[in-house]
Amino acid sequence: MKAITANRLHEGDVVYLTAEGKWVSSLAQARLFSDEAAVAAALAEAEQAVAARRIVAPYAFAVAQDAQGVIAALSTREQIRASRNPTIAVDHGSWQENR
Amino acid sequence: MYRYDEFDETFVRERVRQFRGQVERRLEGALSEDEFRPLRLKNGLYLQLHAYMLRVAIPYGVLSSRQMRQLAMIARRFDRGYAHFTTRQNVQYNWPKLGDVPDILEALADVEMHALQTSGNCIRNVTADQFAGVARDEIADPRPWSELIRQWSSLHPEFSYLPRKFKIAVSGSPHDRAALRVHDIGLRLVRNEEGALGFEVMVGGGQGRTPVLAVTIASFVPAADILPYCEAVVRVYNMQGRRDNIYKARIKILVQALGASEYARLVAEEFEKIKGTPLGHVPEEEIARIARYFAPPAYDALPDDSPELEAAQRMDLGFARWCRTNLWPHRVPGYRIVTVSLKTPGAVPGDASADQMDALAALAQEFSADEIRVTHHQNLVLPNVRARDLPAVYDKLRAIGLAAGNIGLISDIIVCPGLDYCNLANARSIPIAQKIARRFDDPAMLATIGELRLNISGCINACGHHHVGHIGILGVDKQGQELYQLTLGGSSAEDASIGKIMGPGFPADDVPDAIARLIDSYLAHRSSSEERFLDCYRRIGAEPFKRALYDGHS
Repeated sequence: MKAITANRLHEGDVVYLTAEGKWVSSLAQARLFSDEAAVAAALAEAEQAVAARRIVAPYAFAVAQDAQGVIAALSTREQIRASRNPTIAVDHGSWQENR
Repeated sequence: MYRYDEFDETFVRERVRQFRGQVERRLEGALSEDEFRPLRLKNGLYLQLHAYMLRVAIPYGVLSSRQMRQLAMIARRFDRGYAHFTTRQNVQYNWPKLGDVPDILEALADVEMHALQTSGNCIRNVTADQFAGVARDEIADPRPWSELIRQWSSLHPEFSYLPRKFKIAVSGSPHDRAALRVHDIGLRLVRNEEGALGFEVMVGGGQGRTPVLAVTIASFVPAADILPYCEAVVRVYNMQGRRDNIYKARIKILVQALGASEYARLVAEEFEKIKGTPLGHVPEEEIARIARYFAPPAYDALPDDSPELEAAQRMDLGFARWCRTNLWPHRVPGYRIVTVSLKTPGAVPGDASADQMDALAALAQEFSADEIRVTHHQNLVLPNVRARDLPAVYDKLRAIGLAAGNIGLISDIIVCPGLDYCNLANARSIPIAQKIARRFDDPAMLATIGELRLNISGCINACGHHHVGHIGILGVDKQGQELYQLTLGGSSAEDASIGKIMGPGFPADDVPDAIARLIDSYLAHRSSSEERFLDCYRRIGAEPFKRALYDGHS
């Protein structure tokens, strides 16, 4: 099973293609594709969004959906992207607490 | 410091204006992504895992307080309040918005900075010994020569489309703090028997998937000839380097294919041709003009020792430890070079918050003749601190969380952004560094282990210099699992060597224990407390360390 991801042109943010053809930041709302023909069609749709200057660099990646319908990326790379943050704390205000 | 002349100023402003127009046309749709991508890369703007990333050049790692304050302002206004100092003495912002980048570049131009040639197949930002001009062991100051190379290599029309990226490092000391042997060209200032100044020229070094140490192709090139000589080195590469395979396109592959002596012969031939042209001669007055920008600040006449410093060391053991690890002898009596560790255990190596950057700018202004350096080990340097001011500097560093006394020790880890930020990475590297730094966060243990360079890369591109770590860690993706291979025996100093892979990789959670077993083995085998980890490894070989890593743990 696959989903389609990209980055927004203006902000660079990670986004996912939904069933309504929108690009949203939550993987939970991503449309899922179970065959290669559907993936190819979705990537063609994504190219239209590239041409419309909404997103850049679209591609498909592997996901799984559990019994409750929760979507999770399979690779660590895509899990990190979906979290929209590095896995380490980057709270650079914390040094003040150590004074 | 070098100051922009009218030409530099006009040129950088013009490039900002051009890029502003390119971004506008991209957002309006006049430029496609395929057309825009090479243009943004020429301005240091990448698209990474989460967002755009802007890489800003810091020529030979030298910053003024004013520039550091502007970098902090950019972090605060346009990013997420922090920035990341890199192994190429540059600084990176991880979260800029495309539409803001022209304003960021304008803000950089206001303080004589830019992001040109921080990407692409061109000569990148020239790097240098971070102690340039102040180190006691220095033969001559490499900064004027680095600046000369910066000017020559900036938009050099012949070298704008090289087969691959090209990195030049310059040092003026016999002790190599600039990793010369792992650069495309490494230049070391030397004096010949007559006392004349020249360069030893090393060519064809690099890391990545094919780590190679540069070979010396000329032991003495007169200093005034260094530009035409570099021109010849790069021209031979540009003409003969491979363009058919990105993995074989670096100069190191060409030097290996031709052999060092043949490469040297071709360079000598080209050099003779260039010598007869206007490019073949840099006027002495131009070298002198540039050198004047690097005139030393007005130093006080001081005794080398300071009673205030000695008293403070007796009073505060933490300060005394910091003095042992983070100071370096200054060429002027009564002064010290201070390395500010960006490796506080648990923090992200190389990161600094905007508040920390502002505080460092203030420290440099008050205590270090207004100057800061960036090291390729991802630390910062205050190059001109009076010995008697060290207690005050230390207290102020403690107040901003940057007083870790660990320079050159196991927790002073070089680490690439890895899979937490980078589009190319296969595995995370920052969390591994944090775990190791925490594991060894004990002053007595750090002191017992002594000098140890530990470097971590999140993929084979080796931005984290793992090949030249005494201990190197390489993150790989094995069937979806992040695994970490260990290499031992690397060095980027004057005793440069490439580390050897010990065996199968370890899962992330097992890496700190594996490192601990290596350290235990070292402590058991070292001939004395004076024998460094690297020297012990070189003496006894890999086998005892392999046994420590794998016997009962594979």
